[in-house]
Amino acid sequence: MSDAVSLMAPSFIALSVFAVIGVTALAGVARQLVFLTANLVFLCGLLLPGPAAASIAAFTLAGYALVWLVLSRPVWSFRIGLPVYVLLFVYANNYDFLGLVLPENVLTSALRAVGLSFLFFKIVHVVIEAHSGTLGRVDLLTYLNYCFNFTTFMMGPIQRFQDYRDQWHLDKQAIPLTWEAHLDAAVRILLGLLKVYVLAEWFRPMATAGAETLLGLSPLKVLICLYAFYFFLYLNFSGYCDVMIGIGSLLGVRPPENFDRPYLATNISDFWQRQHRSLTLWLTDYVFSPAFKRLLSGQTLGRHPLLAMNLCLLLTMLVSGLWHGTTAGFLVFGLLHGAFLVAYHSWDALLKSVLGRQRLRRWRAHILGRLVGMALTFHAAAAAFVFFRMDVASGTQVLAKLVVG
Amino acid sequence: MNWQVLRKLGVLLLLLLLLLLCAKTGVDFVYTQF
Repeated sequence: MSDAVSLMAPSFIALSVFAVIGVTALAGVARQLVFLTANLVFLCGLLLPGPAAASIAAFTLAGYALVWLVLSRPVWSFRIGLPVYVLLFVYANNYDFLGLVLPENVLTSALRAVGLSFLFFKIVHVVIEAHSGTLGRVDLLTYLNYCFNFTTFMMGPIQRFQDYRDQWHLDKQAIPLTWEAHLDAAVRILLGLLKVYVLAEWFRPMATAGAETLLGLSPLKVLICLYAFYFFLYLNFSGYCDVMIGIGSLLGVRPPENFDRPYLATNISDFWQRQHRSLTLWLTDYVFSPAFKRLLSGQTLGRHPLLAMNLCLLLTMLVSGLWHGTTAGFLVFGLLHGAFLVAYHSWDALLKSVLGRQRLRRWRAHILGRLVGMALTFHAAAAAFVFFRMDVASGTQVLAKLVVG
Repeated sequence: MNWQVLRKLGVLLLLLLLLLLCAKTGVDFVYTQF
């Protein structure tokens, strides 16, 4: 896998300027082709080495074939095609657990590429929406530019096809056509660069300390390192999103917002509404909601909505964990967040039944209630991020050190 | 050009200056490492 593109590199700046001028000045097919050229230069020239770019191209075209099939033969192509496509992603992403079910000579990491997980969720979204009949005709150029869009390819945000298409066809304006709005976009780009290349880097030395280093520190210092990783991840990822949202705004196709000060979340459910929001929305629409609807309509769990909801939350966060990475650590990260959500919703239901809605609302609005909620959520999120950066055994040891000392 | 636009231009220049002075090179993105 190649290193990510530098957003301050002259090549990336030149590409962005070329795309903004080309897309805003041209119309029709020429506009599409200029954007496609910019996207392909980004993908093949700046981001991905040859085999990974070929993998991305094949994966995208297979997705288009599936969309086309779903639109023309809706029933069987969706039921068979979508699971096959999911398996294709699992194989291409070379998940660790594949070693348990497939012979070693069949496995390869050559197909893995930066952005593959984001691309996968975007394409699955198009397939599901095509199946539900909300998309109408999907033309190849729009689809390719949607998939390869350099402002959302590398690390999201996961934009919806309809949102992209509406803005591309000028049915929806990305930003008002004023000097002020364009200056706001430029300020946002610079603010994003400042987050990534200055502020996040202040936290990097502490944030990226390895398990051995952490285990040699006092519990207080370990805690500070966990805080550092939280802020590092937030500044690194949200800064990148700021840059891309700014460029997209100038282009006329603004990616969706992805962060809303997650460190201020007062509970873990609120955290996921503020952190990586485009992913949360995707998981809610395509994992949680269909699963919950199905369980509620069943005979057994239909009478126990809290249990049904908790099971669906666990499933959703399991998918989230698996989507984030290919190792067992990410599975634990997902399950841990699933457990947090289950605990929060169960506790919430208990408090509602004991205190009543009115008193619970008053307690929640109280500054003390909010501060306690924020502190708990912040620590839960920081603890779970341990499994983002180290294996399960090391992560558990680090957390145990925090608790036991 | 109104006051708001001038103010934003000032912020833009300030941010640019900060970046030129303090930005580090060779930075990677956490989300592309997995």
